[in-house]
Amino acid sequence: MKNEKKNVVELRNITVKFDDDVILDDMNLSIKDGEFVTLLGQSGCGKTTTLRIIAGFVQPNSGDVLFEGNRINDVPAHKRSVNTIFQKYALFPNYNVYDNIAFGLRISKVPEPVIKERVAEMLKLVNLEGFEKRSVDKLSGGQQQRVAIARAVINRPKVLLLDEPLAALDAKLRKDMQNELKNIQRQLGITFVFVTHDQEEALSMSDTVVVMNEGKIQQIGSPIDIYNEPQNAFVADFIGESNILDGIMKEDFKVCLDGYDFKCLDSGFGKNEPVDVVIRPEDVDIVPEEQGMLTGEITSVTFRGVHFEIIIDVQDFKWMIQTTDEHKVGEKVGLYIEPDAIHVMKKSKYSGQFGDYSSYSDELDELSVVEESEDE
Amino acid sequence: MKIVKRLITFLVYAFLYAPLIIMVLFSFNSGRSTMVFEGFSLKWYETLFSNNVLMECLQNSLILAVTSSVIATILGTLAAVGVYRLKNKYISGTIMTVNNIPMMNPDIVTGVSLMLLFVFVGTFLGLAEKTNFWTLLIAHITFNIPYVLLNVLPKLKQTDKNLVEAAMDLGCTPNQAFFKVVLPQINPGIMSGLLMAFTLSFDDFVISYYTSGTDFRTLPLYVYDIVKKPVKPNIYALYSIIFILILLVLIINNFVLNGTSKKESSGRAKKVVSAILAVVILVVGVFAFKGCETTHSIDGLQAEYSREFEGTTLNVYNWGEYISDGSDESLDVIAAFEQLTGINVNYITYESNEVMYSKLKSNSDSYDIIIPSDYMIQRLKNEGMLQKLDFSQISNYKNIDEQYKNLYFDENNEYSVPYSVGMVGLIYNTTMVEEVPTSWTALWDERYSGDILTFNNSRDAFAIAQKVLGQSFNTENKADWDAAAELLKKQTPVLQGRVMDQVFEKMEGGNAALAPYYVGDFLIMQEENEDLDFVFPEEGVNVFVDSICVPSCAKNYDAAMMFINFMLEPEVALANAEYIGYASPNTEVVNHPDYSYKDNEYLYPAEEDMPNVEYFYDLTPEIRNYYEKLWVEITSK
Ligand SMILES: Nc1ncnc2c1ncn2[C@@H]1O[C@H](COP(=O)(O)OP(=O)(O)OP(=O)(O)O)[C@@H](O)[C@H]1O
Ligand SMILES: [Mg+2]
Repeated sequence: MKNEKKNVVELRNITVKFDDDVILDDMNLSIKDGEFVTLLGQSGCGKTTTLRIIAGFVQPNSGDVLFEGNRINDVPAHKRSVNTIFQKYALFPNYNVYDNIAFGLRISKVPEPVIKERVAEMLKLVNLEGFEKRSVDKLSGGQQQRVAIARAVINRPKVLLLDEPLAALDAKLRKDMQNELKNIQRQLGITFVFVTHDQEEALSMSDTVVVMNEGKIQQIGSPIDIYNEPQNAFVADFIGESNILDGIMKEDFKVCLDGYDFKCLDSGFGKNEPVDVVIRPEDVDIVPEEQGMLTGEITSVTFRGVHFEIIIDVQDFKWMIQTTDEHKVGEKVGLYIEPDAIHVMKKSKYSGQFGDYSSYSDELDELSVVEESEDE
Repeated sequence: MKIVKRLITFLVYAFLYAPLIIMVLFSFNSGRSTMVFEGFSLKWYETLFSNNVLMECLQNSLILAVTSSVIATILGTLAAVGVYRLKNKYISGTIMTVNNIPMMNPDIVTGVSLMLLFVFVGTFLGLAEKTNFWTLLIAHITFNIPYVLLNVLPKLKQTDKNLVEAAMDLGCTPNQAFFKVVLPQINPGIMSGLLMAFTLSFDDFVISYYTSGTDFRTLPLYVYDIVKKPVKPNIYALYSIIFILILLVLIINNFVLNGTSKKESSGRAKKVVSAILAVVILVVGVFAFKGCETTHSIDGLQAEYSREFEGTTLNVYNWGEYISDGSDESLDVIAAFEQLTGINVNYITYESNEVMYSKLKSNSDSYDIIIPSDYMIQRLKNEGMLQKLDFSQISNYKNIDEQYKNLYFDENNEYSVPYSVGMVGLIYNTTMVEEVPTSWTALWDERYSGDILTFNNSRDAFAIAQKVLGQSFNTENKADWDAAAELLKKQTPVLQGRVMDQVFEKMEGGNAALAPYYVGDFLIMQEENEDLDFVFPEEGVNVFVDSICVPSCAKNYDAAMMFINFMLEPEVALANAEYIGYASPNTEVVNHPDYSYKDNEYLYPAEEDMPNVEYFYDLTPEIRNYYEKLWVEITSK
């Protein structure tokens, strides 16, 4: 946990504006050597812009970019030892696979025999042996992806920037590529700055996750911290499913929800301070009505394979609960919550915007619409 | 439905290509008719290639098209990259509008404004030749750049922006990224821009017309000037070659464009392009070589020709096809003069007296020799635009027939030396008329209604009516012109049409019975159709004399005198008379035993058959405007 490793890249008070729109707002980020950092956030939140700052394609309006401790704001892109895998691969259509991969080494005038050796090494790494002479637009999406990786990695950059490299792939291929990327990162020990708007991908691959929204970093932390201890309603909602309720912190380790005082593990808030309370759907147990801390009526039940998703109306707040037990709509039930399932957060500007499942089915539809349009 | 669609497609293409196919076909015709195919022959191609003036113009056109298109492509591509990189949408939008205007602009506006600029700058810098090869080149580059820009910019916009960044990310400087990644992407656009620029430059007439100088004539300028004579199939041969050339260019273009989707073929396309370029260079080289291989010797020179002006350039400004040019094994007069004296002749042509006049007036170039017609000489002389000739240097002036001396426009023989003489008369088809016509009134004869042609040229058409009414051609009385106009309006119902060059086809093909035209041209028609005959109507006819003069802007006066003397040499004048087919004012020609028109009854009528003749005089601008207005009324009915 201590500063055993040095920071490779540091962003200090970075602000970026395009035509008076603030895209990145006073951003601070340190990336350690060998780390797998993921920038996670919705479309348009400034992930690509952050990568472009590091790569040198965008100049910040204010703030410093540091590389191994040196300010590099004025170093042009082609002189930074950072390589990028672009959102849409950006392979050179006028070159074949071999020439694409060899491109960077040729520019830095590495002798041809060495290039040959290293290209062969790379093709082996990304599993594309025998594809040397292929024209790149005759490759499948996954193969193009791997050429893009090989083309960047062959230069042995200190930092590799990956901009949603898996967005265009289908679910199966995506899983395979996630593993492949992770392997490459481990084998070569390169620092990865990875961009995605897929939270599962972010949680499963990274050492550190950076959650962004509207040009601001919401939280930086390990996947487990981010999931279990979200810092505000936005993060809680964005990562996984959550019930976010208004609560009042009666005293340390005691929070009041819907008139019932719950025990919890949180402390350090003011007396009777209004707070946001996060309770993950899988942490709520359904018990008979009389044994419950809260009671309500089941309004919908959806089968999700491993578990059921049940919506329960408690004093007009719709809870989501995940359980393996089957229940029926209309049943009156009680809710039981362990103290360690309760996570208390300070109020933020996102309070009240998220966390109620009253428009649950609509929300799902909306989400799927958004996702479809993004894939195109 | 499908059949109908196919049929329509077929008809559209047939309509587009039939004329071209017919032209190519007739370029191989062994006769000169455009009606009947008399047999396969390559003779028009031979004539074409033996015409040195034409070949030089073709060579010039290729040189100009290649240089201007290459330079325009480089500049246009750079401009496209610049516009593409502009961040400000308003500025790039404005630049594109500014770019598009010259393309919408009529060529004539572009041409005239460029000429004004060149003359202005030239005057400012004190240049003698305000327009020359360089101004022509600049003009062509100027009008080509927008097309290149328009071809390249969309390709740039299509290229993935990430590609450039990817290249820089991998260590390329912005310049390296451009050459390694962007250029291959926009190459098809650059190539099609280049080819478009090449074709536009190669066939441009209007802009070249205003911006070229005397030193460099292109093919379209040359072709446009050949109207003194009917179009001959060697021009078809020329156009066929050009058509094939353009076709090749288009095929290459498609090759290159398709090359983007099929990477493998782009290498092949490049080879094809270089092969074509090699061929073009080779052809140009052959022309250039051909130009210097033959010797032109002339027998029986009457005067001495020194080489004191060796190396000077003499600008000769003449009608199109109005000098023997080496085609059909004739004497190449210009080449012979150059060989004899070492003077370089820069031979330029015009298609009417008025064009020549305005060119002189515009003051953009200097000419040493011009060959205007009688009334124009009168005008030029009155406006002080001619120099007196030094007859002590023109010993061959003695060859000019006395009857062509002391003419009205040069009463004291100070300014001009007659070159060629023509008369107007009535051509008729003996099988189509009931009796031999003797009067111009035959052109009003209702029996021949629908078979009568007349001039589509105001002064010549009025002249006929004026003779019928017993007027002079040169009357300054408006009432006379009104009366003549009335008569011409009465003629309209019986006319088949008002024509100039088409008269050849109509009369040769037996499609019209009567037509007034120049006697020299009648002789050409008669070779094709023996039924044709010719009379000088009793009321009188127009006679014209084209004479050699030296304009006051001439820079090489003594060399000009030498040229005039040379043109009067018996062998030279004979070659010219044979070539032009009009009557010669040169006694050595008229009496020459080899002269094929010797004693020709039409060109040289015997004393007793000599018609009443009258010259055109230069009329006042007021009268000119008056009858032109009447002419519009007549022809618009
Ligand atoms: N060159 C530019 N000019 C103007 N606005 C820009 C430019 N580049 C990005 N933006 C804006 O900046 C914001 C952030 O863009 P960015 O590309 O960083 O988003 P992102 O998080 O990568 O989104 P996505 O997940 O869709 O790729 C967006 O609102 C975008 O419209
Ligand atoms: Mg992005």
